[in-house]
Amino acid sequence: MKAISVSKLKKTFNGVVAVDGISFDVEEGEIFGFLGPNGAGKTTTVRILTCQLKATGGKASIFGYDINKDCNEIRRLIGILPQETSLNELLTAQQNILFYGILYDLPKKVIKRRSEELLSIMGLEHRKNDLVKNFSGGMKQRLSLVLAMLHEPKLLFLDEPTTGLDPQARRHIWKFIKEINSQGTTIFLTTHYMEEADTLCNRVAIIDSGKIITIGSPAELKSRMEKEKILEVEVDCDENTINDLKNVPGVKQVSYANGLLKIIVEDRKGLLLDIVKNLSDKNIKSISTAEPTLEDVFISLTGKRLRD
Amino acid sequence: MWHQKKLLAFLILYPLLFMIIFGSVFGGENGAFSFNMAIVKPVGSNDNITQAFISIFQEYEGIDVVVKEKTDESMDEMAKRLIEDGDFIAVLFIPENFSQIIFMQVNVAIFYDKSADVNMQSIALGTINGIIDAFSQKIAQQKIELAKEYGNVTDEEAIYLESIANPINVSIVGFSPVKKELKYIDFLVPGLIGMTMMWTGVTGVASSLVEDRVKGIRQRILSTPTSRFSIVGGEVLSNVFLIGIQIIILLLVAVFLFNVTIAGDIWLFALAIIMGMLSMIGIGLVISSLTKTAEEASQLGMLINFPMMFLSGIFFPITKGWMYYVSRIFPLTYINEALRNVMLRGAEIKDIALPFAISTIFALSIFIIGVILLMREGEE
Repeated sequence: MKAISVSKLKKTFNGVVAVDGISFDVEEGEIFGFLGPNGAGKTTTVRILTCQLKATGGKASIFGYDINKDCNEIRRLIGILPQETSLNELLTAQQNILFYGILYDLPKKVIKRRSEELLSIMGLEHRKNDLVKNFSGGMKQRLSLVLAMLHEPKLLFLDEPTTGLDPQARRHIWKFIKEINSQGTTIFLTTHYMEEADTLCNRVAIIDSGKIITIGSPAELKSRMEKEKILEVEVDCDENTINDLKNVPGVKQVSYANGLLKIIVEDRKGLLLDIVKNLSDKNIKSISTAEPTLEDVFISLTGKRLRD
Repeated sequence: MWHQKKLLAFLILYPLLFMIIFGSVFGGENGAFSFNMAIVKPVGSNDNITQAFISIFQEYEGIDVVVKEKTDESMDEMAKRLIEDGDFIAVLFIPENFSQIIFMQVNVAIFYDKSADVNMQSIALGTINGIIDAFSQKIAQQKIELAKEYGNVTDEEAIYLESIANPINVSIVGFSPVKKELKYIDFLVPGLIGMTMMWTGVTGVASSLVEDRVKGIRQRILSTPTSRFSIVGGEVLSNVFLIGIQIIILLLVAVFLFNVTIAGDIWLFALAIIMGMLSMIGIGLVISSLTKTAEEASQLGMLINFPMMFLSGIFFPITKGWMYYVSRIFPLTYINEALRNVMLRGAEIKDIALPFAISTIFALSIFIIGVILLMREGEE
């Protein structure tokens, strides 16, 4: 059985299309990523799949349960890490856990056992009696994950789990996500960090303006770019030169930021020479070729950059 | 809210502070600026002179007059009963055949409440005496006019006659009833109960609900197998509980520190409090679904609460002028009226039928609207 099955799902807010007829499946046990810029429709999709919003059209099911009819069953099977930390800051970590444990109808004994397990995995056991308002952003996010995992959901939705966290806290969360996945929990996560999707996901759907552009494993997506090469030129450059470069036959995408010119090119003889000719009057500091990243895939597919 | 200790302390201390300040400043004075009196007339006397005499009292601003017919009790007994049960400061007895014997000389008896506030006693007796004097003089003049028509009375003789012709003789009897004297603090306590319900119910409920929504806590709770109805119910119950504690503390302090008593039926009193809670929490629920941030919610709450606090009769009675008409807009006015009548006058449900009916209708409708708005919230 598919963990998630979505077909032609659509959502409009007062005529504005947020999700535009997307279809995809998530297999049990995988980590599936939704990669796209802010406003692409990621959070809206999560809210529809978790029974918080009604879809305008299309069909979706979670472990075979229809999102329009079987919300009660679905809520018991899924855990959600919302985008906002949304903890009760005036309660301690332990009190927050008890509160949500009761909302899930868990017996006191189970709450105690799960909370000990999860707090120790998240490295929060020594802070469990502190008020949440004194926690750092990373600690709040870890506690938030504890709450999402409390009732042992089969499917966990993570909406931008590491946005706004420092690199160390981010790696801590990644480690935890991998660990719970290895114990059998299916994970659906949204992110606008390429590195996150690349590190964690078995499969990634690239979403932009409410549409899924492509779906595949990170390696697959990157290999689609094998015929293409990425040229990074460290150079001072102006608008005219960039436009000239775009007209060189074989150049697919040109982007320029912070003194680094990124050019996606087809593998063609003599192309490098043509490009260098165009830059001959500029002060080229270095030229190198790079392995494609998911970001390059995104730029190649949408012509846009992802914001960090 | 339960974990914001400062806010909780503030919510409980705030009405107490009001009671202590207003109670100490006005504690000994009677809050009412007018007085209540009864006029007892003989059974079946409807002649013009008696009517004219009574209507002067009725039209006098500042006196609330209730006209009774003489019973078989003695004057003493009847006066005692009226003063003790009827909350009248004075009782005036009109004798039999008033309209005839007034053209000779008539005795009018006034009984008054010696236990009432001294200032109120002198205001009441002074006013009543003044009215009788004026009436008496009018009758004297009529007598002299008659005398002039029938006999040869010179102007000097007329002045002399006027000076001796005092047709109404007033006898005043002071009387100490066995009843509790009402002080400003008695007036204030039911009002403060209303105020407590207002602040916690309106601003407290609205801002805590909006805060839960803004922080995403509401969404998170909704993602568990918890129904919207439980969320609304939980919010309502926790506030009913909080307001209940506030009122109990308020009443304990009022009873033990200020010797306030509850005259009426405690269950009717509790029922009026419940209607008040539902009204105020209902307003809070509606505000929460109309506003986007906690600040916005508490500001809109203040905008409603401040005028309501001063114009619903919490601190002083509002009986006339434009303020009276404005006060009729606020639901708290009716709740205060019901609470005050039950607590001070021992009113039964039939005595407070109108304010009670208005409070109940308002309470149920605003509460239902609030719950419906909240249940629909975020369900795009």
